[in-house]
Amino acid sequence: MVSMLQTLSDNLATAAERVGRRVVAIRARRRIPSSGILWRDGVVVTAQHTIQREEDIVITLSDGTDAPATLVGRDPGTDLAALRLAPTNAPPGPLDVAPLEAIRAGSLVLALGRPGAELTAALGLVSAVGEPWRTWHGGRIDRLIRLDIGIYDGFSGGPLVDAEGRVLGVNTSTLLRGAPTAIPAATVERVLGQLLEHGHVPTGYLGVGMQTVALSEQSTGLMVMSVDPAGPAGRGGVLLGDVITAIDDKAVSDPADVLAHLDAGQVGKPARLGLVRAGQSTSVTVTVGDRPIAERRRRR
Amino acid sequence: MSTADLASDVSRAADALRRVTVEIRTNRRGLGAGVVWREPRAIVTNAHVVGTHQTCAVHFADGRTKEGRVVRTNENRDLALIEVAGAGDDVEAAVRRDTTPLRAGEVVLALGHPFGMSGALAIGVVHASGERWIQADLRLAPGFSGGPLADAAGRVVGINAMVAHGLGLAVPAAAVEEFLRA
Repeated sequence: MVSMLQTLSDNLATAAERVGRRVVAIRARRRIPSSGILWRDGVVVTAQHTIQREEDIVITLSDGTDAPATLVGRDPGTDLAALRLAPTNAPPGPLDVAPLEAIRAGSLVLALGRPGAELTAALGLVSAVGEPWRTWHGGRIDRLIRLDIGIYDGFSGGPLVDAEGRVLGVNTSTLLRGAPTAIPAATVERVLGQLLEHGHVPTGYLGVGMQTVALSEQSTGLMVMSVDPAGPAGRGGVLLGDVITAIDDKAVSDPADVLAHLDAGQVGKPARLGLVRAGQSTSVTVTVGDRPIAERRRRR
Repeated sequence: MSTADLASDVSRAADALRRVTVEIRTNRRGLGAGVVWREPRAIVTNAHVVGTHQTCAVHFADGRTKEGRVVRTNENRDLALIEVAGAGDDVEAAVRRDTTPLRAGEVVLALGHPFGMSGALAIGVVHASGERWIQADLRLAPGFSGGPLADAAGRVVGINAMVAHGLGLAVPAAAVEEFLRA
């Protein structure tokens, strides 16, 4: 008689084997390779922080063959990177992805990796599922997935898999302090689309440095402490010492409020800044820019 | 099927493993575990459990304690063979799995005596399986050394030997067979 424990064991090993065919080793750092997932034919997704060199990247597929890969782009905000390799003779077929609603606290999960030739597995739990959140690098993630699982070599960049063999997301050890987390598949799809289209994730940019100041006992605003004269705000007429009180009629009192407003969708669109200038309320309209590469590097 | 079935499966597997696991004491060192490998008198443990001792006390699951003689050790593979005189034929030997390869993600169980606590169970999965070591994602402690690592069916797949980078390392059953043949 096959016990339930054996059935569970078989299911886990089969899930690992099935998804493991798409788990690759990425040689883009010294010593131990990192893990990645063949997300689509010819496209590998991994954790951005494991890519330490952008040239001479070699990927080892599950069948042991090596293939050269090029970096498509990286997004430090969500810790995701995409790599391209020559499409295979046997395309992997569509990835079996779990919907966001299927990710629940208490679910049994496997973290797969390939820090070399061999597939590795670790077993754990989804310890908490939270709201959409913004990482300390400013990336927008559709659900906070906190994991109770062991972090071994090759954890970051590997897939989080449920007992049915569905991919829940991409694992990373660096986004949350004190716990491993997974970037949900929905976020991966969105970021991957932007990386393939633009080579980076466009991020709204004004080109000002701001600091919270009290305007009265009740209200606060953001004083402009520096202006990039060639940036969107500088060209739009924002001056040093202006106090920004609103963007598109939405009050702002913290630089994070501005950041939250400047998502990818805002790039190229006009934004009306409510200002207090020399004691008078006024407004200027600027065109939101895309954060320049140098700025992005600084925020990595 | 319910999770209660799963829990009873686990405790049944642990009970079966406990019957083939012994406690090994040497006069100076602490406690280790061992597995009744083939016949009632052939017990396998780690070389580091017995150290340089020629004899040790073997405590069986049924409560009996016998004197064991260290027949052979292999420091390189961290294995030792202990023979017990007159253990009786009623002592069960472990059911082993030494041919079917282990798959990453398979459930594994370990039994040992951490910090003097007899017959403690740890559960996890196969992290990776190589010829030299089985790497298991489960939480081991001192006292698990020399004890069994078993699959979900309770078949012994290796002898737990050490912890490295948080992973349990076990000597594969096939390597134990090779050691016994040598």
